[in-house]
Amino acid sequence: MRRLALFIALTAIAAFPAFAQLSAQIGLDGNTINYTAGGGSTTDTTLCVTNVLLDGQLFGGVGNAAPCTRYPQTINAFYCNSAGTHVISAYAGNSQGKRVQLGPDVTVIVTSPPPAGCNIRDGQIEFGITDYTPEEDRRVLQSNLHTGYPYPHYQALLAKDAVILMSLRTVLDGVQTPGATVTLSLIDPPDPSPYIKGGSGIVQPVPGQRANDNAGPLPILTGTGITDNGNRTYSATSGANGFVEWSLELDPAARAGDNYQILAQATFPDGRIAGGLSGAVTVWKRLFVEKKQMFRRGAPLATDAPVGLKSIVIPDGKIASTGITAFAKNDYVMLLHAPTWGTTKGSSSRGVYQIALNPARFRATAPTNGTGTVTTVGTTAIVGSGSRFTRLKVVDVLTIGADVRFILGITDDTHLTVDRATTSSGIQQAYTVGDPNLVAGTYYVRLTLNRALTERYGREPLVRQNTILTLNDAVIRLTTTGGYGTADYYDVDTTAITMPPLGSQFANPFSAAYTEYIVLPTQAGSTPAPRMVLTNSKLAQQFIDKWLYLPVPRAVPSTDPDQLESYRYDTAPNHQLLLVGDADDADVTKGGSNGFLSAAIIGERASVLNRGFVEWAVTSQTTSIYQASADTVLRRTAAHEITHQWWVNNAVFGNLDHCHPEVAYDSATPYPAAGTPPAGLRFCLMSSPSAGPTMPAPWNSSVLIPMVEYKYRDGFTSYHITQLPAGWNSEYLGIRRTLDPWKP
Amino acid sequence: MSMEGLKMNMHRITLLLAALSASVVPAFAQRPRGPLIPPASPIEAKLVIPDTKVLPGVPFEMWIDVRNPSDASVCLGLAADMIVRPDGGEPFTISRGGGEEELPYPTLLPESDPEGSAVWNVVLHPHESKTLTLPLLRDLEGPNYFADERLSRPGRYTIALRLDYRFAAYQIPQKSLLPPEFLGPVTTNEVTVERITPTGTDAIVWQRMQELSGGHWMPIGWMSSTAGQTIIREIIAKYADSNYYPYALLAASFGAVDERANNRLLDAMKRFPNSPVRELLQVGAWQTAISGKKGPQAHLDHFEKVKASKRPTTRILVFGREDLPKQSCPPGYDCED
Repeated sequence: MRRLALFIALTAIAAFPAFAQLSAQIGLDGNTINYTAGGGSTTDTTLCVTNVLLDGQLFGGVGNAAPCTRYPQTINAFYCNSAGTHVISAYAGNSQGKRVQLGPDVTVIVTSPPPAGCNIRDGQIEFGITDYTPEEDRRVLQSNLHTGYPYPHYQALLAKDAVILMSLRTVLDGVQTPGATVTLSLIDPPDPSPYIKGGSGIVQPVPGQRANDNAGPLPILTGTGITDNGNRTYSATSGANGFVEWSLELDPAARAGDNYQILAQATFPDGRIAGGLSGAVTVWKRLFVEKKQMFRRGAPLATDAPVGLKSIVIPDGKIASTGITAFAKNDYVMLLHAPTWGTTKGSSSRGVYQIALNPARFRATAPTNGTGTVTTVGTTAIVGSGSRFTRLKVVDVLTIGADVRFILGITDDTHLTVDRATTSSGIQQAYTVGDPNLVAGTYYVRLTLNRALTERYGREPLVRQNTILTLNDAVIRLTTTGGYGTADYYDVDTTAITMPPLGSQFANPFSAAYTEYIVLPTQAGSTPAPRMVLTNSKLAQQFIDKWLYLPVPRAVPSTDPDQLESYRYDTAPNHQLLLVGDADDADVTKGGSNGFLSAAIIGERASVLNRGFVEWAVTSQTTSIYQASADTVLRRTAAHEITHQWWVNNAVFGNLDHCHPEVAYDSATPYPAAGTPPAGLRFCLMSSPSAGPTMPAPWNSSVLIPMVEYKYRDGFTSYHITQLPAGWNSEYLGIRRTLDPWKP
Repeated sequence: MSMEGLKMNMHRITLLLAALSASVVPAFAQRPRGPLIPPASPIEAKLVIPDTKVLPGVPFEMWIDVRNPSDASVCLGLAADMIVRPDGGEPFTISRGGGEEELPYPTLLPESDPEGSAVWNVVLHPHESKTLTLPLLRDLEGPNYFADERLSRPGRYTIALRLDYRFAAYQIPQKSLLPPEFLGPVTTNEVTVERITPTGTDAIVWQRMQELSGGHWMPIGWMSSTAGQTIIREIIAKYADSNYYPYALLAASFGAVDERANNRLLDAMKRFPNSPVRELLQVGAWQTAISGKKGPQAHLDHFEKVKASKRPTTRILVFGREDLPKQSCPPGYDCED
């Protein structure tokens, strides 16, 4: 296509009414399109670039330095347009790739052909999608499985998975002309990825570009008046204004990164011909991530805490990996409650209290037979016979039949009140005193609160072992009185996962694999997860299932009366889970990992980051990331652990999905030997540390540390590409070739 | 599974993924680690395997009685590799904790409870003794030596454990980091375990285990695989007379907390009084007793039986470390004990 659209950069400073973010009209010559875009106020002060598109093609923009309270305004003109219909659109954007449409598209009709000075003659084909069309507008998503997230621009015209709307206009002597016979041919152009084609600064071996390199089958073209010729070509006749439109429908086996172009040849009624090549459209995946933060300080409840009680019991131990590691009198705390296992997800409830007394440590004893007997009448009143209730304490626990009840009030030796009505009535019943949920001989801490609990908190009732507290409700320590803030929980920068700024698709690993990641906003009403030490076990996944929003309980059909393991938690296809956790050992100095893949329950998967451990590790000379930035390391680790969810290395390398010996495709040096890391070295994001070379620790040259881990501090996130006997191997290719939608 | 480990020792690696990767074991994974210094430790280590005839495809308990007979304090490393000599087969070593691609070292000595932190190296004072335990963990998720399918099949296996120094900081064993009290690794005596050739219903179950796992049945982590989940249901529904039945009940404890679960455990205790996991059935019966017909009294009765257990592997699960001295009261706390 040969469009000669010129624009003049005339940027106006004057404010522009918010109701007219985009306007366009034909000039007096009948050909020039004058437009004004932007100028309205914005609450997002990062949106400081205004771009204007003609027929979907980006011809320029105007930008201001952030922050900007108004979208930059531009008043420009397009010249040398073909006579016929044109569409002008505009959007504001920022460096992180966010885009906001400025007003509705404006359609104008150019009434005069371009003047002679434009030198536009004979036949032309004007594609709707060209190489000037923003790359993100000409993606075609295989699926878009979360409501509220629009498709890319051209796919949004149909708003369907795996289909993109394409078009062209046949133009003769500068006038959009109907009646041309058009042949459309599908082309598989070379892969433009730098890890395929190489390029400036890439010294590692790469496969090289070639046409017809898609991994999946070609799509098909459909539409009114589109005839399939059966040999990758289709025929059509241009209609009004020379318009031809078709849908490009992906094959279900298409792979991310597959790209297509349309080669068109038009024969006009007068016999003249024209040809043209569309811009490439590229197949993308779209993944959604639920990120859940974790509170920094807290503990699970060791036993139930009914309404009316003024205390809670937690295990004796550190409540945080570093810093303040114990509760103290006057601390403000928040109790957290999640729906019990298998019930419908909703907002986790919470309550803020203050610790009124010094924490009280005690050693649990086994329940013992109570003195005398008791009579119950299905109420909270307990009447004793031969009993000595005054020797008991409020907060003691009675077990009568299958009822475990907390004493809330003692009247005399034969009368007391418990927290809940008993389930049955009976006389002269034996009972025990002592909390069966506590482990005899084990230390616990009782926190006395400033007021009685207004909501019941407690253990996860489906856990049999009273040594397992992971799934219980929990208490967290607040740094301020007014609720929790960012200082209270662990978080992570996910910008290595999500889309990089415009124009740098290959800066991040997933976008470089044509896989768009969207981190979902925090679910309204939810809090970070309670602080918990997690290792990769069923419990970790169950904890994630319980506290994250996306996993949905599903009853497992079973003929078994116990309904063993009666619920599974399903996370929708193309949705992944990320928990920003603390550490994998209660003693952070014994922590073992920056993060891990939770995969101990078949069909469920999640990435867990150990931020508490990393924050400690960067301060300890005993680790390989001493003096590194925790933020940088974790930004990289987030991408690493999410990559594990794809599990693309294991089939080739084993090694629990790590690669070896591989450097990143953009490393300036080959895989190194032991010693000081050479300049320009970049390991693959998934490189194996333990199998890798060693190096003397820069802060203590007498000890050796794994070089791969040392380099975590650089934050590089590129993958490798290497030629193996079975062919070229790369995480990029592995992710791209995984069929959509992804499932755990 | 630890995917981003900084240290060699505490990697948590999923059993599922270990199973998935079992067919592809690159040369750099699962490598036995050579001792940094020659074994010269005076510490005596006696491996005890209380049940030396067991079904194929199930884990078994072990413990190690260690003693320092010398007049000096000696450091004992608690990084344990398992050395196995199968009858008629090649000896092999199940190595642990050598990097983020390897399974973690099983906890031999917890700081307090088996679900918490582990002691990595322990100094034994002159003539001091300790018992190190390898209990069957919750839901049969460990000890993770049994993530190795080579320990699964019928046959005789002669087993020893080599206890070496567990490095706290670096993946790379380094002499300069060894404390002077560490005098080298310690290897236990050998104990021979016979995985019996099952008969009757047990043979059917074992055959099903093989079928469902494609011949790669792993003795632990049953709930972590479709094969394991299936066999649990089949055993309970169709092969309740099998000696695998107690194991199936233990492998799926989550959610099995009500009276029916209690009844099942009681039934299993009656029908399989000689099962190697009978004490764990007893623990389960105690844990679910309040839901049962006899309520609190049964709870007390079962607890008394659990309390009377002589097996260190049972005791560590229920009571944690019982050899610890009374803890001092932390500042700002009121201590009732």
